Amino acid sequence: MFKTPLDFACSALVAGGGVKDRRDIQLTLGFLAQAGQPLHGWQTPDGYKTDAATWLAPEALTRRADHAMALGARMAEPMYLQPFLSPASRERIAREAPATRTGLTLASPDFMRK
Amino acid sequence: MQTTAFSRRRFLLTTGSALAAAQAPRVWAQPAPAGASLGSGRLIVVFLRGAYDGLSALVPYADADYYSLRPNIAIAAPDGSLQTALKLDNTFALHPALSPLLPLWQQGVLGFVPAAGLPAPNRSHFDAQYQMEIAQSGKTSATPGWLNKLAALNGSTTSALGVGEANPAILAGDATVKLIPRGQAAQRTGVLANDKTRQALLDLYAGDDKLSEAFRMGAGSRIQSAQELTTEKMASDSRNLAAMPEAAAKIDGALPNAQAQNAQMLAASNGAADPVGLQLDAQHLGTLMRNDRKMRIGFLSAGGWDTHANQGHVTGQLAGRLGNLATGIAQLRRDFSEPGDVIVVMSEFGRTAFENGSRGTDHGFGNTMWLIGQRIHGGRWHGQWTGLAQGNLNDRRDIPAHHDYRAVLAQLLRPARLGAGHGVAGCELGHPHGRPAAKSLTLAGTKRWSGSSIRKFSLKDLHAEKPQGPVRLFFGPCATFGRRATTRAATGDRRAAGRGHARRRRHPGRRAKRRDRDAAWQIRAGRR
Repeated sequence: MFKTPLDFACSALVAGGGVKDRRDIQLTLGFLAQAGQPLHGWQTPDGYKTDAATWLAPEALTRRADHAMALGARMAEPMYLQPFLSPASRERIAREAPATRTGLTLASPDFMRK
Repeated sequence: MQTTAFSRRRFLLTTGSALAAAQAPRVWAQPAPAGASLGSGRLIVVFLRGAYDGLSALVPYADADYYSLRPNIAIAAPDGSLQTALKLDNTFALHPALSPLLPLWQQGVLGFVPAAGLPAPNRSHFDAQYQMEIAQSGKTSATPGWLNKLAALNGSTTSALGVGEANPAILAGDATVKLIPRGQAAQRTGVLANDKTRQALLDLYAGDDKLSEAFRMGAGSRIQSAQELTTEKMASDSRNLAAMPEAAAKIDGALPNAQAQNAQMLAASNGAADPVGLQLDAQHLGTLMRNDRKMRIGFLSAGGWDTHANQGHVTGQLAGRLGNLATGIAQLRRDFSEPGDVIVVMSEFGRTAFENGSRGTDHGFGNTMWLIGQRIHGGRWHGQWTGLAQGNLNDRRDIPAHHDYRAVLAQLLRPARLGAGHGVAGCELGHPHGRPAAKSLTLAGTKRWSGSSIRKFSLKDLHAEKPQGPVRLFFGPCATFGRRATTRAATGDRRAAGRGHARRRRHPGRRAKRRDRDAAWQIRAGRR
């Protein structure tokens, strides 16, 4: 299943071992607002939609990459995610400098699904 | 201009301004060379989420009920200053925060439909917005938005651009649309600006699955739009600096009244500063749609209209929003002022006619739709307006929706008909072969609403009259109004609602009929 922005943002935080400081929260809330799913921001009781049709939009994916790289620069590489990546993704990410590996892991197509 | 009831059907919107009438046929009658877009109209929808208070924007200042229902939040009747409403005609005035729009009214390109809305009241923002976005009743799963359908209808010749929302329902569907974020974020390429990162991401998303394709498309489109917007910003910065004194001088001589001059100056000086809010989004929309002429459908939204408390009057919360909206619309009009272009401003429903205990207004029903463009018979309002007398309100609290919003939209989408052979050249945003988009869009498909007391709109209305020009817009008669009023009279205030019709029943003569209908419809006798 395709992650909603909230799924994506929370799982990215968890991958870094949870919230470490204010900045993590700021980044996350900023991302959610921009992605169209501000935290507790829905006006009516029926809640946000959870389907891919609502959230899988071309340019929105590139915004996820922005967020992943920003958050990834602030955390250690989540090695436990390795088995969940496809071999192709794993191989491609390994070719990059360690500093960007975390961000790319979070930005990978594998991390977009739950 | 006189309003003559020349048949059961009455034209309320006739041909566009003299300018459009003079230019358009010549342009449209020519076979369109490939890629030419002079005659092709563009449609911009500005959606005000949260139900804006139409009674503060288009102020029925001549109606004493307006002031008794809203002792604290009414906009004062016009006295010529910017502290009161700006007079449009003998019925309505404009909120002073909307002064940048006054020139558009004076030029005859801005018109209002003061009582339009859903076929039946729905006071949930979410449901009502969704209905308006798919142009159908109820929640239907996986129904594409009507702007997306419209893009799909026109095939590869038309695409759509949305500014501000991640994936608005109105643009969701099969056709690929471009979506850019609100504000300055649209000018940024983010991590894609870094060559190494971009390459790594594109490699990760190299597959041919839906997700990868979407990413690649998004990356390409984002890089391109960010570049275009940045280039445009640099160009306009230097242009603004160079052009301001001349522009100011030109405005000085061109406009007849002081109010309009002020409004123009306001708009002009706002243009010189770095635009913010809706104006910036409008500018982005204009730039991207100018650079890619296949983009003929634009969507913009603004939130924060749900003014339940302290909505303010001439100043305050709502006034601020309206000011932002007005500069946004004025900006849009600068970019979308070709003969075929139309800008529509709509909201999911209106607000209560009376103010509540916290100096705000609650969820209502009918609301004012705005139409801007040379195709619009502007400088006047259209359709029915029955005032704020208790008996004429919906549920004794809201403006009724005398017109299905889809009836208004369907007329905008109606292809121009210039006679055989010029179907393609004359085609508006409708079907490429001259078929009205409305049919395929089910904008006209109001049969579902058969339980509703709202007048039904059908394609017959579109074709019943012989078109006289390429841009004729009109509303058919409100056939059920009599029934509606009578029903209301039975349950409510008979004197307020039913008098005209009772008289008609006693004297079914033709002249009496016509007089009563005029009285009931409260139709204005043209531009003043």
